[in-house]
Amino acid sequence: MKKIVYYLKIMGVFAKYSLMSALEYRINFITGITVEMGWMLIKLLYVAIIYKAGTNIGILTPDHILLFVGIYLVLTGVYMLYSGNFSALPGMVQHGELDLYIVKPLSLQFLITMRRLDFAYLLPDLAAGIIMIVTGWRLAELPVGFLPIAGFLFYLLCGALLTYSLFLLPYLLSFWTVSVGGIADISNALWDFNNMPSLIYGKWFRRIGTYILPIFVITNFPGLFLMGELSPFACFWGAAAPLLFFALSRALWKFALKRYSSASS
Amino acid sequence: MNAYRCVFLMGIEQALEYRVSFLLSMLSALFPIIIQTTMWNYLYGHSDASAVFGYEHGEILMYSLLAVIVSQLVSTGFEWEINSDIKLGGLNKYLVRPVGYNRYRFFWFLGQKVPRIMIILPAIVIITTAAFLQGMPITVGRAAAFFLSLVLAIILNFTIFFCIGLLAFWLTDVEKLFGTISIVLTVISGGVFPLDIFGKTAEILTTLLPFGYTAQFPVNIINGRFGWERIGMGFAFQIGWILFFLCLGNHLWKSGIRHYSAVSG
Amino acid sequence: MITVEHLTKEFTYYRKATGLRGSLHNIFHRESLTKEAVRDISFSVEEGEMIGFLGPNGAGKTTTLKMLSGILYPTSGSVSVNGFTPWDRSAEFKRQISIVMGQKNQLWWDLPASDSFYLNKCIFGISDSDYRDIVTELAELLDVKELMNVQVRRLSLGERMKMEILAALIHRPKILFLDEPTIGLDLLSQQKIREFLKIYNEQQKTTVIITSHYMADIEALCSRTVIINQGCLVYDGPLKEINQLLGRRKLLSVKTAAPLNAKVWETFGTVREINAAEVILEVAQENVKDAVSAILSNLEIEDFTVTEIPIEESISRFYQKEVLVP
Repeated sequence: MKKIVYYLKIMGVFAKYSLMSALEYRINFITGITVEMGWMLIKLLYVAIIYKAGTNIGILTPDHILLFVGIYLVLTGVYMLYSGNFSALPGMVQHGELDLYIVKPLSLQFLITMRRLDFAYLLPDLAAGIIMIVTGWRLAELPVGFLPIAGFLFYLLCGALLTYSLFLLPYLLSFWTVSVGGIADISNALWDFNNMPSLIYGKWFRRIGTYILPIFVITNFPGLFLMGELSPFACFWGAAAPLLFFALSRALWKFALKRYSSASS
Repeated sequence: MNAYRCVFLMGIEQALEYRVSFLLSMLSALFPIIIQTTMWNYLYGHSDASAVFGYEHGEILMYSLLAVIVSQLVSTGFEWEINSDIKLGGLNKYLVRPVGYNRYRFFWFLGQKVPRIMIILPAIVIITTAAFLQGMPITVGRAAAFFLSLVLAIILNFTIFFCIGLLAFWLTDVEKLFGTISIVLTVISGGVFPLDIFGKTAEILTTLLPFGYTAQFPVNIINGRFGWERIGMGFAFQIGWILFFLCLGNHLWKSGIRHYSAVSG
Repeated sequence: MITVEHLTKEFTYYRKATGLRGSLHNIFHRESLTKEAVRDISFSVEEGEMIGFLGPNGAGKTTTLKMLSGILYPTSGSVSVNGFTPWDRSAEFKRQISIVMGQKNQLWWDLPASDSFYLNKCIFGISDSDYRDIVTELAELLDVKELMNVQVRRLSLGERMKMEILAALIHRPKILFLDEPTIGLDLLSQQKIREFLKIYNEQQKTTVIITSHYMADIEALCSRTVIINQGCLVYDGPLKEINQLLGRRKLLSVKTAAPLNAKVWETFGTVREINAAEVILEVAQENVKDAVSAILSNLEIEDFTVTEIPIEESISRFYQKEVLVP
């Protein structure tokens, strides 16, 4: 518990300093917001097309889909908040910049992956995503109450943790290969599978994406829980997968760091 | 000419240097295709989508597939290099050497494209052959027009992004701005969805503005949507816009250099 | 405090073939090569001691320092730093050490240095009062009180380095590793940092290991020097003894009334430099007296001095392996 408070406090300092630094370059901050809005435009085009076709996807009406894409946007924003640290990792490894962080008495993984937070990317996604979630929730007449909301938020949190763990993995390859631009592309592209509710994909594809490479768990489970469409096993998996993959990311991180300490000069 | 041949070869070499990255980025281009194909299959299977969007099922699939590929083919990235040349003083070495900067950039760009072209061209040939065997009315003339339009699209996109890159002469924080521009241009060039599905106005704008000629135009030639009259008009627009951006680029370069020499002394 | 035994570090790297053909070849096959960065180094450091690592670029100084601070794992050998094995990286060990690298920074670029200090305070869990005390004290010593609220990117290189050092000392480490702390700084800043380190080491009894290119750093600060060349420890002892090891040779500079032929000078010693009427001779210490009296009695002398061989030069001989380990 004491440890959690410690890490939260440092996270708070990071958030404050990142925001202060970002506001030093206001134009960059604003263009950052426009970049994210550009990406959002593409994501919203998908919703626009579905609304235009006016069809359901399985049990999902266009209103449900609005909610699902809203969740996707919110979690995209949360991922974008710290993903700059992921993309900085290859450069840091290559230039030996982990050195000064290794000697700090706290988790290096935490320090490296949470050091800089990018609020310019978070804000537009969060704003648009919340509006879409609330609108979708009301239009689809989904239940409102303590349990639905708490469960929804719980799976949203699980989704955030799973995103972190899952998408850190490819960047850890940078300890072995110099250029990971392609890896970044590929993991970003994987993330975009969530632009559509998983029900649109075929059965096997959905199973793989839920139980093997669980990207669909991230954005679909909060919504499915709200609709009462999660089986008890899925409820369990939705909470277990993030822990499992977080443990995996920790293990791989430690393994990769061993290489950094052995192979570099 | 020998100097530019050398630049061209160096471009290829650099692209190959980052081999893993390169292969992965090619692979990642597949994901949006899968997502879009799935979505279209679903919508066409569950609603009267062809009436809503004005594209037949096969046409829209072919469009999605080719649009992503063509966008990959014409995509740039040298605008960031132009920016760092300008900001970090790398430009000086081009000013004293007897090489034209625009030509240098162009051959470098082509060189970097070669590995990509070598993968993409066979893919295009396979797709069009498959479409032909499926009964798509592709004639030799149409295929030739398509390849010509691709070449022009690559040149057009180069001239557009060369102009964008030169903005770095006047703007300080352009890196994120470039990001925004490149995403938005991908969308409004029809690189994600055909823009005419969003209505008459979108269609007219695509015809008049230059951006559609870097993606949507070539695709619609091979797709069989455009008659010869439209194709002829399209070529006129494409060439016209290339000339326009060439002139604009030259103009920007001249005044940019004047600005650069004045500032950096 | 620190014991190093048979420390060795090897690492592998890839050879890159040149040209387009080479790049194509590289796709399928890469040749790996091994480099021994540090070879079988042993030494020990007492508490409160300040020792200097000298050596040319790529000699293995920084690699050794990184192993001592736990950043790198050695290939073989053992290190004990205040009872800890550095590369176990226990939190307790990390609290006792600190490292400053002249070419890397830990400060937040766009914020005042004081914000970075505060972050370190939180990371090391230092109480508010201790934090206030140490920052005031160090800022006073380093003469940076007025700069505390200036963004790091607006500071000069020397000021930035002072701030880096301050940030590294917030948790009062028992051992401080400094890697090229004065690199690229102007002479005045170098001097200031040296003075600070001297005072700090005397007051706090902190054990300090410093690597540097600048002889002056080591000369001013360290009673003991370790010279590393091509990964090997070639000398461990006081800096001034290097000259003696080199065979106690001295330099005689002589200025005569009229220019003389080099042949004449060669009878007195080795001619280093000859320029019109001025000449520099290298003479073995035991022959200095004889040479001086011979010159004075046989030639018309205007000016005359005897000096030690500069330390830089002695060291560069170590680098060239002219002198082997005693």
